Amino acid sequence: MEFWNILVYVAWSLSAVMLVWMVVDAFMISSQYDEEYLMSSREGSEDEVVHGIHLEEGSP
Amino acid sequence: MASEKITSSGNKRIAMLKVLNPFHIWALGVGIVLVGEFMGWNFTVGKGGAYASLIACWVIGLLYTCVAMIDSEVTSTVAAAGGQYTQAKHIIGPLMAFNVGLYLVMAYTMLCAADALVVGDLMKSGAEVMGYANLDTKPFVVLTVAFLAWLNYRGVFATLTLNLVITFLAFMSLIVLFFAVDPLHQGVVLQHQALLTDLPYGWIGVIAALQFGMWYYLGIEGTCQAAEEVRSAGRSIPLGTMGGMMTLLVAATITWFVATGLMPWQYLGQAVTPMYDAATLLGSSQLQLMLFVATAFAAIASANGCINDASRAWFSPARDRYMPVFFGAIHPKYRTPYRSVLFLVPIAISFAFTGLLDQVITFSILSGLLGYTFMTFNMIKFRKMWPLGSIHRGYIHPFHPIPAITLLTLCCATYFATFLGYGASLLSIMAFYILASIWFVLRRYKYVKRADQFTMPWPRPKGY
Amino acid sequence: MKKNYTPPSQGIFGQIFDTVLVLVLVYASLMVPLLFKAEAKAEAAAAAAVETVKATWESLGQNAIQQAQWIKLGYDPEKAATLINSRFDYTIDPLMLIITIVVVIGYFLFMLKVSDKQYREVIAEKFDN
Repeated sequence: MEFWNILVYVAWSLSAVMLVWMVVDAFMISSQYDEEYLMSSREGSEDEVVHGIHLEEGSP
Repeated sequence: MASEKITSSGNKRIAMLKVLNPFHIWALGVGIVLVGEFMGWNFTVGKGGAYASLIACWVIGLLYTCVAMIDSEVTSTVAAAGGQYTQAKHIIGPLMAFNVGLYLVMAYTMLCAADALVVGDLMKSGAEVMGYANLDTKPFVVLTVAFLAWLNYRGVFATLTLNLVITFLAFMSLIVLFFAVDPLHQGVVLQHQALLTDLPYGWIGVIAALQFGMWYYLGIEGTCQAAEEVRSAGRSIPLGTMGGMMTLLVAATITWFVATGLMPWQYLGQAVTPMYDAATLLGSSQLQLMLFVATAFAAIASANGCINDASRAWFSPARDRYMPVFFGAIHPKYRTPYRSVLFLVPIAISFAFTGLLDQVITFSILSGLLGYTFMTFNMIKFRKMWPLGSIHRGYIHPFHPIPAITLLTLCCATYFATFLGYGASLLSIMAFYILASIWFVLRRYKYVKRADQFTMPWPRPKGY
Repeated sequence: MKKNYTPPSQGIFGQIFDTVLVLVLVYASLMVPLLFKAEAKAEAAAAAAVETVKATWESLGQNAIQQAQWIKLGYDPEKAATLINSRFDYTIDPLMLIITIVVVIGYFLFMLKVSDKQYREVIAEKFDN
C-alpha cells in the first residue's frame, strides 16, 4: 500500500532531521561557548546541600 | 576564535535546571518499568509455571522494596545526578563507582534498545492488522530513539511531562483491563481453576523465574538520576520512588491475575505481547485497540526514561573524568547533558540492530542486579562511616540492617537463576566488567583528580 | 603535608580511543555467548526432530477450558504441541557453578579491595590537606 511506503519515508526523514538538528546544534554550541564554561557544572544540588553538620531530629 | 566565545564570567557556573516535582520522579521510575508489565514479565511463567511467576513477582517485589528503601536513604543525602554512581564514589571508592556508572549506562541503554524494538514490532503488527504485511520496522526503531533523544536534548521538563502523561494512561489501561475481566466472578471470564497447574518444574522453576521476575520492576531505582533537576530532592525522590514502587506492585499483581486467568501457561510463557493477547481473548475491539496503544505508550515511556537516565549516568562519571571529559558538558540553553544524550543515540540503535535481543536483555538485567548487590554493602558502610546523627539525612529507612541482608540474599538467588538460564552470558558479562575494571585501574584513573571527587559537605568518615 | 595529585589532561584522540575501547568490549561480550548458543541450538533441533507422534489435546493433557483458550488463541494441537512439549533443562553443571561463584565473588572482592585503597587516598587528600 502506498500509505505505508510513504510512512516509512516520513519516519526516515523525520529521524534524519532530528539527528542532524542535534548534531548541528552541538557544533554551534561548541563554537559559541567556551569549553570551560560548558564543563563548569558542579556535582550536587547547591541549594539543597546542607552546609556543615546537622543533627537529625529526634536522634541523640 | 577563542576571544569571541562566551566564557564563564567571574564565578558563574553552568548547572542543570531544577524544574521537576515528585510526579515527574514517579513518571521517570514507573515509566521505565511499566513496559515490563505489558511484555517480558510473562517469561517467568515459561520458566516455572504460573504460580512460580506470582512467587517471583512478590519475592522480587521484596527485593525492590529493599532497593527503594536503601536508595531513598542514601539519595536523600547524596542528591546528585549520577545517582548510585555518586553514592559509590562517596562511600565505597573510585573503582566501585566506575563500575556502578557502567552498570547504569549499560542497563539503561540496552533497555532503551529493547523498547525501541518493541515500538517497531508494534508498528509492524499494526500494519498487518490493517492489511499490509512486511512493514520495515527499522525506520520506526530509529525514529523512536531519535525523537526521544531530541526531546531529552531540548530539556528535561517536557521530556518527563510527556512520560507522566503516557505512563499514567498506560497504567490506567491495566486498571480498565482488570475491571473488564469481571474479577469478582470466577468462571465467567477468568478461568483460574482450569488454567492454573502445579509447578511444572518444581521449586527449581521458581528460582529460575526470579531472573525475569526483575522485569516487573527493573529501572525503578533510576529515579535518583534526576536528583540535580528536581526541586527539594531530599523529599521528592523518596516520595516518587516509594509511590512508584507501590504502583508497580499493584500493576504487577493485576497483570499476573488477568493474564493467568485467560491463557494456558505454556502459551503465556512465550507470548510476545501477553496483555494485548488478553484483550484479544476478551473479544472486544475497543479493548484491543486500547491495549495496543497502551503497550506502545509504555514502550515509548520506557525508552524515554532510559535515555534520560543513561545520559545522566554517562555524564556524571565524565564530569569527574572517569570517562572522557568531553561528555561532561551541559547545554547552555537547554541545560541538559546534551553530548551524552547525542552519544548514546547511535549506540542504542546499534544494540537494537544487532539482532541479539536475548543477550541485550540479559546484559541489562544482570547490570541491574550487580547494581543492587553493590547497594547492600554500600548501605552497611554508609551507616558505619557516618552513623545516624553525624550528617543530615532526608529519610532514614527502618529495620537496618535487615533490608540490606534480605537484598543480598535475594540477589544471590537471582544470580543463581541467571546461571540456570544464561550461564554463558553471565560469565561473558562478568568478563566485560572485569576487563573494564582492569582498564580503569591501569589507564583511566590517572586522569581523575583525587580529592575533587568528594563533593559532599560531610565530616571525615569514621575509620578513614 | 603531601602535595595534591595533579592529573594529566587527556587529548581529544585519547578520549576517542577510550570511548571506542569501551564500546568494543561491550560488543565483544554480547557476541561471545553466541558461540555457545549455536552449539545448544543444534542439540535442541536434533532432539525436536525425534518427536513426530501425532498430538491431540488429550495426549497433551489439556482440559476442556484450556483447549477452548488455545483454540481462541488460534492454535491447533499440532502447533500447541511444540509449545507444550518444549521444556527448559535445569540440570546443574557443578563445575560451571563453582566457576561462576568464584568469578562473581572474586570480582566483588577485587573491586572492594582496590576501591578501598583508592578511597583512602581520596579521603587523605580531601581532609588532610
